[in-house]
Amino acid sequence: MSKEAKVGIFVLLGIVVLTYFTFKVSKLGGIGEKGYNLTVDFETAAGLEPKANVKMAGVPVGKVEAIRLVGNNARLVLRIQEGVQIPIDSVASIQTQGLLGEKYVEILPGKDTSRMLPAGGRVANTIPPANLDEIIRKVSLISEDLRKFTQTLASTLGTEEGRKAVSDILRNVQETTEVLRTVVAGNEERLNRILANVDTLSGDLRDISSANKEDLRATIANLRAFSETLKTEGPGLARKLEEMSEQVSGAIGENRGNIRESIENLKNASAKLDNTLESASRVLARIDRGEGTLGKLVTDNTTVTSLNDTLDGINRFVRKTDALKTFLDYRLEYQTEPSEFKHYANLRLQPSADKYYLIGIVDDPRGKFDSTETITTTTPGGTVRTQQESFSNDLKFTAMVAKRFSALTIRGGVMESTGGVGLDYHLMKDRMSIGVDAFDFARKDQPPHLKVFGNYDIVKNFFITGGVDDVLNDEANLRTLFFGFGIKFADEDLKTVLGAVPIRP
Amino acid sequence: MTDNRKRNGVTAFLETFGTRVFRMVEDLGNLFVFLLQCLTWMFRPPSEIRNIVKQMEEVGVNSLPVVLVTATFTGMVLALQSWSGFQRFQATSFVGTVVALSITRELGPVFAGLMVSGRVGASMAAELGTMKVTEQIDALVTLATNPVKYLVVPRVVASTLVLPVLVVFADLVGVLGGYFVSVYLLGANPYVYADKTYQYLEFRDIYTGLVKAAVFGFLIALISCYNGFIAQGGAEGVGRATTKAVVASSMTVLVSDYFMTSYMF
Amino acid sequence: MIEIRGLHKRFGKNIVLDGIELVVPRGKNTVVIGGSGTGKSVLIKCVVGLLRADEGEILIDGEDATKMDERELVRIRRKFGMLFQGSALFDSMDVGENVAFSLRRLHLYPERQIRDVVEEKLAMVGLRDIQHLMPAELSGGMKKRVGLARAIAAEPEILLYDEPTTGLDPIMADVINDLIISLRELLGVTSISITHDMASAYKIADQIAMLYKGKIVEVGTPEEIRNTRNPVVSQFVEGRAEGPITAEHEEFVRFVRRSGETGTQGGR
Repeated sequence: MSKEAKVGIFVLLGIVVLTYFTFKVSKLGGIGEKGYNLTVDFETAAGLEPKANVKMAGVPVGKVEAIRLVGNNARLVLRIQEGVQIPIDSVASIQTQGLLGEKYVEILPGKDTSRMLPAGGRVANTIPPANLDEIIRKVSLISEDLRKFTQTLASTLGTEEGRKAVSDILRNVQETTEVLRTVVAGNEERLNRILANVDTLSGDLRDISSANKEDLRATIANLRAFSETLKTEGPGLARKLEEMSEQVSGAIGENRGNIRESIENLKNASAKLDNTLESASRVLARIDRGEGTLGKLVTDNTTVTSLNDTLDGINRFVRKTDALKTFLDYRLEYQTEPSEFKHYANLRLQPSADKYYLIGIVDDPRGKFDSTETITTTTPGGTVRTQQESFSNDLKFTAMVAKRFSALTIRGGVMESTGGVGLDYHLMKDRMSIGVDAFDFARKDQPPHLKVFGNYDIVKNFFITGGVDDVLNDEANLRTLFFGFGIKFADEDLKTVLGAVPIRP
Repeated sequence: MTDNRKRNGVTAFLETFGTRVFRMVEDLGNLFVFLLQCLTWMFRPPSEIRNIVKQMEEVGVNSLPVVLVTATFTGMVLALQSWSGFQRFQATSFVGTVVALSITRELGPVFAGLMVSGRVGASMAAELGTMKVTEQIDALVTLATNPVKYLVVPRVVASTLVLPVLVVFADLVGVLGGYFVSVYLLGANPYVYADKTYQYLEFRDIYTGLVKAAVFGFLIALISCYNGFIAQGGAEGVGRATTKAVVASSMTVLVSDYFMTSYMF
Repeated sequence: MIEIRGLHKRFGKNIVLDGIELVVPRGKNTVVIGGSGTGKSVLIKCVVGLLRADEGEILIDGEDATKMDERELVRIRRKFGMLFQGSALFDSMDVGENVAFSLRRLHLYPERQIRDVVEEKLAMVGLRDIQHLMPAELSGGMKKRVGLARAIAAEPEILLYDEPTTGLDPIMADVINDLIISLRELLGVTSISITHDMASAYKIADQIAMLYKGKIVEVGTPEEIRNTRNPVVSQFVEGRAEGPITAEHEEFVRFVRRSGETGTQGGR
């Protein structure tokens, strides 16, 4: 074999091996790799790495393709193998293989097998991953209780009677735990959710109490005022009381028989109360045992479930309003001809990442073309007709709905007080956008107002803009080059800014 | 008397030390000049294609067995060692990952580099050194041929091109060696092992290894040729040059590996 | 014609060539004699540009080689052919490839003619049918002749012989001497030989120059050198152990030998 042939085979084989590696390694989203994506949000994805397995019933069905921070949550993009169907009400959770093993995403298939998650869909139900710290905290609480319990037990067990009781108890415990085991096994997931809900609820309560601090303070102030009054009025009151007691003692002396009767009555009443209390305690005991309506209500699982669902519903609603984002921006454009400034101020309400509403005002130096009037003036020399174009110098309004499709946003609605539509194309991870606005279609004798522009965010809150305004207009003095800048704030920025301003009560 | 002797000792030491440092700096300067010559001649016509192919055979094809054996055993040892370590906390499923990452990122290129330093570096230094002391290099000059272009450039180019190819093979057999030991000797689950091998491996890991290999190839050939070129003093001189070439190029492989790893990857 | 004027070459502190003045006439054989390690090799390596002179001029057909850059040197080197002391055959190539080396590098002939040219050059040094032997298979004398064939392959105008007869038996040495003479007559080349073999020097030389202590101490025809009055020259040509040379000889030899080897790195 010639040198050349040997070297050729050598290099060729090398390339083959390298190609093999390349294919093996880029199996996710690689050439010829089939499947679809799902997303799922977790409060924390701690310990989870991209490429971790996704398992359903313990069987690998895909990989974690990406982990991103969305809001305060971790959003996972899961790549699911083609042919694997996931019911829409499935529950996702992050699990650990062994105690310290690698993490993976487990999908508990839902019951609703008629509806499957589509490509790009979202697994809505999740179980927050058990935190090791939390487990340890719980365990330590339990062990504290256990300690107290065993102390009591030790003192009880001293007697013969006690020993006998214990053996009874143990038998009971055995039976109970048997029952408990089956119950717990069936309701593990639910218990977990209850804990989460209680957690949320207590958080809400805390929020409420902190929100009502002001009222509390007022109440306390009232109380204080009341006691102040009491103090000043005190001596007078005492005197009055003295007088009163004197009168009372006199009255008692006169009515001794009546009083005795009254006391008798009181005694009877308290006996009755005693009975009532006794029956109340009986009722409570029954409730405890699960007898009676109330008892059933408390112990029945369905109650818990419906309570749970209610809490879930509340939670979801609260989240939704959380997702609404608000943006405020102001922009100044300098038009080269004639050299004038145009101002914009917009409020953007964004309920979800792909949709927003825009409300704004525009201060346009050219104003809005209102009408052309023909004024006929009659002078002694004849009739003179002049045409007068009137422009209103009022502010103009914008109100638009926008919907985003990947890198493209389509806007429509009222634009500078006329009907209009617009397109934005986003580049460089949304730092830059180029777009076109078309509005004022009914302009007299003139083509629609077309504006072509580009924006670039220098920093998060500051951007520059430039373009050509009124492109289609043939009248040279109306078509103009412009450039300018703007500032914009998201609601979290506003919070920060407002929070920094000292507000006096 | 004692003081005097001591001072003399110190002076002598400083002198020797200074001379050594000076020689080292001088050597480095010469190597740099040599590098510049090599680079200028690399891009001047005519291209020495036939010579390059010949050297590719020598450096690549003929080094393949050595590199394959080394890489296979490296992969095997790596599997054994990481198995015994990972077993202590039930993480043996990660042996495949560790073997694959270590081989592709680090051990494949470095061991291939060291093997080539030993095998090819020595032969280059010995061959050019012999040519130097027998005036064959002078003869080239009188026969209208630049020795740097004719001898050094093809070796440097060939070894730069061929080392990444060797490393691709080393990666493959290293991973296979680890697989063999884990699955057949230690009883790992073959499916899990293969899955874990590729699960965390990225193309980046492989190509950074290949870039390293190319740099190693360039440096090994350059240093070995340089040491051959400065050989003097007959057979003994050639022997010295060969030793120096192997030591210097092996050290350069390890040192440059550190810097590449820390800067680039 | 080669004219060497005021040529200086030193290695570190040691001055090897200290103002050489020598005129090498066209078409003549000039032999430089001198003891081992007196700088004879350094001298011809300077002439061919393997070493760069520190000072002085080497005029080759009127052009000063010491002032040339690498590209011009490549051009001027094509006028030279050189026979090295150890022949310096490329041991990775066979005899044919060795002889054809410069022909191929310079594309002097189309590939199909090269075989014939090689045969012709080998015939000129009295060899045939050895193209496929490797240098390691040749005797010293054959190596010299192949080296000579390689040196004349590209038809140089100037031939340089570095110790052409050293290490050969007297008969083979004489064969080489005859070859040198016949090449001069046949090709009309100018040549410089360096040797310490006086028999060879007397036989091949048109002009003999004696190098001693970095200077040319005497130049003359073989007859003039034989009858010199210069004590240094007469000690050397008569090969006496006692004389002015012996006294300073040994130490000098040692460092020149060392310097001569360090100087040629990079092939310049």
